[in-house]
Amino acid sequence: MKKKDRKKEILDLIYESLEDNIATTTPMKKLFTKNKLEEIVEFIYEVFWEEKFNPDEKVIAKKIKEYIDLEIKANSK
Amino acid sequence: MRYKKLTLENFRTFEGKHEFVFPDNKPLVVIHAINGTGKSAMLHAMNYVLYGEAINPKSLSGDKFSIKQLLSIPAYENNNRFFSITLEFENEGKNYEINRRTQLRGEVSIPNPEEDRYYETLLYVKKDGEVLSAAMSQPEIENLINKAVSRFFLVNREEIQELDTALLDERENELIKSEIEKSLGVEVLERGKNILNNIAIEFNKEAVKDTDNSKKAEKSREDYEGEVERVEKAKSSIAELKKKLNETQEKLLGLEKEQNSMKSIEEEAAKKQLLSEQLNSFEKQKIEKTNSIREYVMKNWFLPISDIAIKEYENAKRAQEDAHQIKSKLQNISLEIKKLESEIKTEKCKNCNQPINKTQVEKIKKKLEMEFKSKEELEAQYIEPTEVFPSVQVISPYIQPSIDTLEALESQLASLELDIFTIKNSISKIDKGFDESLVAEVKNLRVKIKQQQEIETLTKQNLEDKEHELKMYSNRLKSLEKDIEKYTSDSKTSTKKSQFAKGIRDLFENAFEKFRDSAREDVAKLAKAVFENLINTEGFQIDLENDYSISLTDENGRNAGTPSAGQSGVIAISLITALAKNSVTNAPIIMDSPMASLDDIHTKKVWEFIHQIADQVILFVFPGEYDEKEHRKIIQKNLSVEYTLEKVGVYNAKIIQGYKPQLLEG
Repeated sequence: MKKKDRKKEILDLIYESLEDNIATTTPMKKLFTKNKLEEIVEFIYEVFWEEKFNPDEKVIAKKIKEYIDLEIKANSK
Repeated sequence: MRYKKLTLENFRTFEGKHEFVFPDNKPLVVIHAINGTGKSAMLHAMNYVLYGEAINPKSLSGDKFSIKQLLSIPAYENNNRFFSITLEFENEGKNYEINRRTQLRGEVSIPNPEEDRYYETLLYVKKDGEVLSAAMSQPEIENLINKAVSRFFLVNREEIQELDTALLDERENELIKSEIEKSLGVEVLERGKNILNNIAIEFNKEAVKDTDNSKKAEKSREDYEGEVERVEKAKSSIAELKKKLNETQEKLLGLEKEQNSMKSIEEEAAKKQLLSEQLNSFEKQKIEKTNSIREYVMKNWFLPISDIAIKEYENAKRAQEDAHQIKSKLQNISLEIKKLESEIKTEKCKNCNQPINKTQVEKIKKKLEMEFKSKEELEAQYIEPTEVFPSVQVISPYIQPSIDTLEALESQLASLELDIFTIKNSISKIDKGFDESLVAEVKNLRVKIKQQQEIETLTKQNLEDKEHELKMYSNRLKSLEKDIEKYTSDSKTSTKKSQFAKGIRDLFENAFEKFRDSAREDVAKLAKAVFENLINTEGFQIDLENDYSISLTDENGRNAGTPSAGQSGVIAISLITALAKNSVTNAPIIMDSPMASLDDIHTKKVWEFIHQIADQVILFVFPGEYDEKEHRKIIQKNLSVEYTLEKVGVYNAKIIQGYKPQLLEG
């Protein structure tokens, strides 16, 4: 019995969701290329994964918010 | 993850230092023990070293063991009031060492410190040889084997027997379900989407606020245009004022040069001016002095005649003295006349009473005549002393000070007259060869300079004001520029951020929905397969509900009712296996008496299977679970190491490597 690589499995599912037709994801797909979006999604997911047992959600939210802020600003230039 | 060594010191049944070493070769570790030797103690030690607490499984309310309960009884009695647990393990190529030591506080000196408050616990975590900070230590442990999922990796006997029942209990189900989802990683996505949702809400709020920003940007643009106009006006005013200032300063320069050339005239004029002022002052003083003398004389009008009065007084005084002398003489003469007349009449000497003759009488008569003549003369001269002028004597002391004052005033007046004379002389000297028209010109020049200086000051002030205004307008202009940029970009950026966060949130939400179901299906599938493999009754199977509660069905798919103790044990092992294989935590599994409720057939099947549930499986078994003849050949190929716990006395145990059945005879 092989142990499942949950981390990769979840990330693959998120990538898969990028392909799904979700209305709210259209604007961000217009802003970023597929590769860049995958990079962003991976970063955010990595934070959630690393901090999965950190009870302080505010710290995680701050990290993600700052990251989104930076990416959007960089994209706006 | 693999545990490499567990060291216990003065913990429960282990007085002194005892070690379990787990070689890194095969998955299975079997620890044989009879009751009371420390099977459960090792699970408690694991919980304590990882989380700083150990739950007493016998407590219905889940109470923790007290420190005194965890401390070896003989150690406590021998005054060794501390216990220490060290766990060494490897995870993803990194070596860890966790040490948790609980000891009596330094200041405690009571003979029997039983309460927890008398003890302190110290935690050290080493990662690849480096000691982590106190703040980082516990989070690091929690990140590797989170306490919330620990029940699936540190499995006590009660858990195995009661897991299926607990899952049917509504309150416990909630907790276990949440722990399962945490273990499966579902919570990573669920928590992620919730955090992203909060972020999306925050960005959305900013975007709503920034709709106002676009209006603000428009308003700022209008203000900006107005400000530009003001800046231009201020700049042009400054240019004019600078020009005016230059002109004024040039004029001033010319006038000052001219003034320098006429400096001597100015000095002479100034000197004359000064002297004239002095002259005026002295003349004024002279008038004042003259007036005061006049006033003094007016008030003291008699002073001019005072000398005469004094002379008169002195004469009168002398006359008075004379009058007194005459009066005295007259009295003497009158007495002499009376004596002589008596002697003539009596013809006897008054002095000796002897008769006198005629010749003597004649002589006396002549003398008498002379006396009368003298008397007449004196009487003609005589004035009564009281008739002499008497007030002179009284006035005399008052006269002298008046004379002194008057003399002083006269002297001052004379000095003033001298000064006036001197000044007039000096002025007349200056006046010789002095051109009054030039003085007028100098005065005029000075007036002009003063005027230009005033213009210069005023222009400078205006210029300063205008420059300040310009600075203010320019700053406002910059601020408006920034506002326009900010409002415009904020409006655009916040909308983008809001849209982006919503997109990512929905992406995670979508993945979460998919994953939660697929993870549960994975667990259900694997648990079912394991159960089918382990269960002896043909056709019996388990179904995992959405809330992870488990139902047992028979070969016809009907509910088979409440599982037996043995079936519960198999269900628990199946579920724990499925969870371990699907968990995000990659920890070894330690189980206490997993086969305690199983019959021989099930026990054998578990022995055949158990090494597969994790990379490292540590089992505590009592003699009833292990049969050397039956099971040795089953476990041998997967066996890493074997230990036997030897009971020593009433409270102690020892760790002996290998299987020692003689030590397990109750």
